[in-house]
Amino acid sequence: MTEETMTLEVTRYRPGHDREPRTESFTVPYRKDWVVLDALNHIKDRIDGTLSYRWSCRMGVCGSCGMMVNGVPKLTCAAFLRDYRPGPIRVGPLANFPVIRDLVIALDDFMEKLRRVKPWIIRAVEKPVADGEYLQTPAQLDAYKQFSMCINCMLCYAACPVYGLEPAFVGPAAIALAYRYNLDSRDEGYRLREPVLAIALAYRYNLDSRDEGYRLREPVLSEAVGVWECTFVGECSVVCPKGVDPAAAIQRSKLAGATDWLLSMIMPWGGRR
Amino acid sequence: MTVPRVERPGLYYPKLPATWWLRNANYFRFMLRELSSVFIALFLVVFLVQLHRLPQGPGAYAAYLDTLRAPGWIIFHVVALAFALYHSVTWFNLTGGLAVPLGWTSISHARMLALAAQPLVKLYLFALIALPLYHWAHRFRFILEDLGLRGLRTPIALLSYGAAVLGTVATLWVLWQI
Repeated sequence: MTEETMTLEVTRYRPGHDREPRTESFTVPYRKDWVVLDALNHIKDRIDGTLSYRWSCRMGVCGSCGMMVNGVPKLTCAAFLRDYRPGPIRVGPLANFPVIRDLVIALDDFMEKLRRVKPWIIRAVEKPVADGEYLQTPAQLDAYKQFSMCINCMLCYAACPVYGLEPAFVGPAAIALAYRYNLDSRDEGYRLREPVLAIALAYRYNLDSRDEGYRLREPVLSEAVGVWECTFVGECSVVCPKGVDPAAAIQRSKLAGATDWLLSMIMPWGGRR
Repeated sequence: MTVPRVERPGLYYPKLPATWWLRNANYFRFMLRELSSVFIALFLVVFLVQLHRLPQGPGAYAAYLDTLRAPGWIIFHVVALAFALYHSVTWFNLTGGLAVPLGWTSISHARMLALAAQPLVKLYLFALIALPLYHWAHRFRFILEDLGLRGLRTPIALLSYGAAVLGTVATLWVLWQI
């Protein structure tokens, strides 16, 4: 019996050689329990050792192996060949990102954005270790839990046409994570994350005669980068492999920002949270 | 405002083509949703012109309505109606008003809670729930009267409007609890 095979059309890009990416076809054995990543590993081990791509855990946790599979952002460790029968399967680097080589994209932009939204618990005053943990009720945990499932795989950025058209846009995962910390009952950093998320509010403080923070907010304001860039295409939430709903985080951030802005207009003496 | 990106040599920077929304069904539906607003705006302009014709007398008004009977305008209105319906469906999907109870989409408790806890949303919910109660009270009062209970006018009015007032208080109380 001849072995069943499948064809993978893989995007190749060699920096310094190619001006544009090109496609190369590989024929790999078809196995019912193989995922696209297994097929790529087969190519690298048996056919062409120069094929470059990122991967690590093979179990949908590390977020390294995100690629475009038939034009859809997928974790290749979770994309089974059997779901793409009879093929061919098109495998490309994550869309909207600069390509370093073959299927490897540049992460710098996302990493910088992630840092910018301060995705960690910020306290006005840290309490001493001796005073124990910051306690949280199950309801308080529920408030942000789904947003904390993000594995930084960047599939949502590859799915987001707004990010594709405007690379300065902070983007789905970073906003979802900022929102996750804003929702955390232990966190007090809402105002610090705000300028990145809600441009209207940054503007409101710039107009405040008591404020001297204009320069600090300027980079955020001069680039239209925050939640208001989002036009709610919603595809970020569709492609998320961990069930996070970044689109909801962004729309809710818009609502929170608009509410705060309105309250600050009605009650300039401090109607804000 | 597009910020020029500093491009590093050696990297390939993909460009998103203007036809990106043809790439998958969700993108296409998004574009339709956004486009629906154009038809709604166009309809509003047509309606505004109709209102503008009102003070110009019955002749001008009738002439305008006659214009709208042309096949082209009828097609426009049918298309605009279709887009308006689609627009409404996307709103329901967004708000969870119909979509959640009907199971078209699911919004988790945490998500719904966070949404309902917003002061602006509360204000909206208050208007959404409390005001139609008076609409109900008024109509219900006259339904009963039309059914021949005119002799009980005062108690019916008291009961109808009283129930609406109670509903208002209940709405305030429920929203307060969120």
